[in-house]
Amino acid sequence: MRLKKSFQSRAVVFLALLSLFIAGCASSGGTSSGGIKTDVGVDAGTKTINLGILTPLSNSAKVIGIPLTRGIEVFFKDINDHGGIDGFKVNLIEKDNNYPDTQQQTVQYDAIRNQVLLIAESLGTPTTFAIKDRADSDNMLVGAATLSSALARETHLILLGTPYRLQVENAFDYVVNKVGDKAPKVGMIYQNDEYGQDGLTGYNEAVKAYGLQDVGQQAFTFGAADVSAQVLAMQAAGAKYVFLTSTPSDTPKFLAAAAKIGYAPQWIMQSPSFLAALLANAQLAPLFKGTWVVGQGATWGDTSQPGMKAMLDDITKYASDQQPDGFFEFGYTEAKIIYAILKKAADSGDLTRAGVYKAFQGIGTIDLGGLYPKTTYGSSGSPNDRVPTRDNVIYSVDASAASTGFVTPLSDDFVGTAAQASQF
Amino acid sequence: MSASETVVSASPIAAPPRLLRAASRRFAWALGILLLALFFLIASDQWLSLANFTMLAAIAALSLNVLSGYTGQVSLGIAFFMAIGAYTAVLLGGDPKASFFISGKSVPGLGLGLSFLIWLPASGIVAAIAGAVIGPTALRLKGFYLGIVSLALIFIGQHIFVNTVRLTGGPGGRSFPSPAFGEFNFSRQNDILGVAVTSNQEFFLLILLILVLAAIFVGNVMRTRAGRAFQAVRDNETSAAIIGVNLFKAKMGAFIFSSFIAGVAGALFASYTSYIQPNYWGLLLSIQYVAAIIVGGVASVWGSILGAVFVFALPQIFDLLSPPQTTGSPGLFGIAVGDLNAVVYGLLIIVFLLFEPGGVIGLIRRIQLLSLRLNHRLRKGGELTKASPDLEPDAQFEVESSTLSASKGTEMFDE
Repeated sequence: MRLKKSFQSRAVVFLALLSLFIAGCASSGGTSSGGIKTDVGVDAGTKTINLGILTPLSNSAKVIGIPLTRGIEVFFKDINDHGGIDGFKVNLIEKDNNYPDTQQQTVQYDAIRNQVLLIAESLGTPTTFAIKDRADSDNMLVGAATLSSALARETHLILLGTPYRLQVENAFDYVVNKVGDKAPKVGMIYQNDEYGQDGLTGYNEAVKAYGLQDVGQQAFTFGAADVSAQVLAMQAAGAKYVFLTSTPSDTPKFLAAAAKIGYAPQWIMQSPSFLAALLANAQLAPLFKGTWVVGQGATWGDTSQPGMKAMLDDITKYASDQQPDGFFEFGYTEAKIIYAILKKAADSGDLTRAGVYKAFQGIGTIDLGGLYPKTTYGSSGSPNDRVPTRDNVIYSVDASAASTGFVTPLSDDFVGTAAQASQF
Repeated sequence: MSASETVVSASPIAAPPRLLRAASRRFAWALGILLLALFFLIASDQWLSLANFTMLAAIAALSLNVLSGYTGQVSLGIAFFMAIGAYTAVLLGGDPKASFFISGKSVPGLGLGLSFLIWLPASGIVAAIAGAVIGPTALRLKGFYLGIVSLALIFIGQHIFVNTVRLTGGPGGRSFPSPAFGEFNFSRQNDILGVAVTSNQEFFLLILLILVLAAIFVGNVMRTRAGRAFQAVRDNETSAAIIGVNLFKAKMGAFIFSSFIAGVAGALFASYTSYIQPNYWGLLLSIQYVAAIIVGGVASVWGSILGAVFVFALPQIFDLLSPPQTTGSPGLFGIAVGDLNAVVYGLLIIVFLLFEPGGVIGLIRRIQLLSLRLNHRLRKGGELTKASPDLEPDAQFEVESSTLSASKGTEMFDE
């Protein structure tokens, strides 16, 4: 009996202490600095804005994650050296998301969710999907380093660039309307996940819109050791154009398998399938000869575009060893968009998450200095309005064009008829 | 003569007073609860998140240990059963208004919006039914052959999940329901008596509760007639049959029991993660659980928990404790922390398979055994003649029996 009583009294004391402790841990309200309202992720005392980065810094996906993140770093270094955003310096908190590990992404998101104002970069489609519900409930904007169409439906994601689905449609628009090859035999090889499905959706829409002869669709798994079956199927079906939705670590396997059997279709690559660094490998370079890649944005070194000139100047100042790389350019451009949103929020005197979200809603068109086309974020709430651009450039991979990231533009910046009509 | 026999037979120690034993146990439990309470109170979101994922992994590892560790049925199908649990949860508890964006079109999703008091147990029950359907294959197949059948489950499952768009959201995946009581939703911060409790803290308590229940349940079942039958089947099917174990019942029982826990783990995991794509339920996930029970210790409740810590938490702990990362970080020893984790993960599995097949728990028991021997020698050499309260005969028997079961448990991988 005594034992029971003493246990009860101890339990009461413990619970009381527990309640006190939790009460002590409860978060405090927002603050204000120089008339600018702030809350999570902004240190009003040191005038610092913390932004999160969730990107692969290890494993094979780091070939995309590192240059892309460097683009963001370089852009904000320059902003900080020029006084920051209304006096606030930007600090990046970078976390390795071990793409495509969604669990790691979630843990890393939780690690910084109370430290950052917004996520400037979340790289990858499955990884970005994994945190989108958390971001919604935290009222956290997330800059998505992925071109998945489905993300256009998410209110807290900031997209940059033309979605994968429209890339495929624009590629075949180029084949039919610019090259003039009507009703060719075409095939599709796609990664068996959401990214690949997005490409496949575009492919099916293009087949319908342009009257192409679809001779085969082959799926493969990310990191597959052997892809010769898919290539053989394309050869057997007689595909003249093969669209490839893959990542840089898998792309050479397809090209090598085709070269081995003497099959030389016109390869067309989705933008993430190609990486300039692959051309630096003397053994891989010949495999890419004559391939096309669907991309966007100014050609590296084209200083007629003020955005490109500014970027190259920043590279000279802050990252002189940076080689031409489309992913760096993407990251740098993404940072420009994040900057525009933060600047608008700061100018309206509200750097809280709610204030930044409001700024994004009303941001309208952002001029990216020609690095990417002007980007418009509508405020109607329609997913169609959240697709920032629909245009692409078709590039030819060119091993001799090191100064432009090994690509030469074949077309101007254009929007195909199918891409223009696509609904989200 | 085995090491454990030496200890038991040579031990002249009289049984310590029962109360003492109870007190030391009680102290250990009190300390454990205190540490958990402290963790609950002071841990940041990242540590709570890590703890939650680790505990979820421990529940799933327990499920695999029931089937593979205790009953000796090789299985790579745990991810499939977890998925069944998760999709049952979303079917019953999912948002009735959900819609998905597939091939440029909006597709309405399935979801009944029922309470988590329904979807959580139902996820276990439906997974158990799936286990009962698969179970009979184990009557005809053993070892690797059974492993291959369970492997096929993963691939068939992937195909079904990717194509049942209204249920799973297709390749893009879908959101999963959070446990909720009326307005109290675990996905949000809630006020309890005016105190703010975060979503991660709420999940921490729920997952901990289910892990404790699952651990106690598995531990207790393994001491019952059914549990002994499972272990008899693992050790030698023919002998088990001869001594009267009904092989059909034992194997089916293990499949159903294991699948039930896996289903609950899958539903909770999906609910905590909040959004999952079908690709997640792949072979890699299953292999991670196999690794967890090998590293932690087969046929052991604590082995499942420790295995989850080593396989799922340790890499992320390295990551969280490593210096701040940037694109220019040199990493540790010139290797990116993430890559180093992958190397350590692989090494751990090789080292444990080679040197300690009993896993971490086997290692701990070995240390216990050594300290018992050392104590015993000291006592023999010194003047001690009475029992020391530190030494508990029951603990020695535990050492003996679990060392035995751990070594037996690994035999399934040698078949």
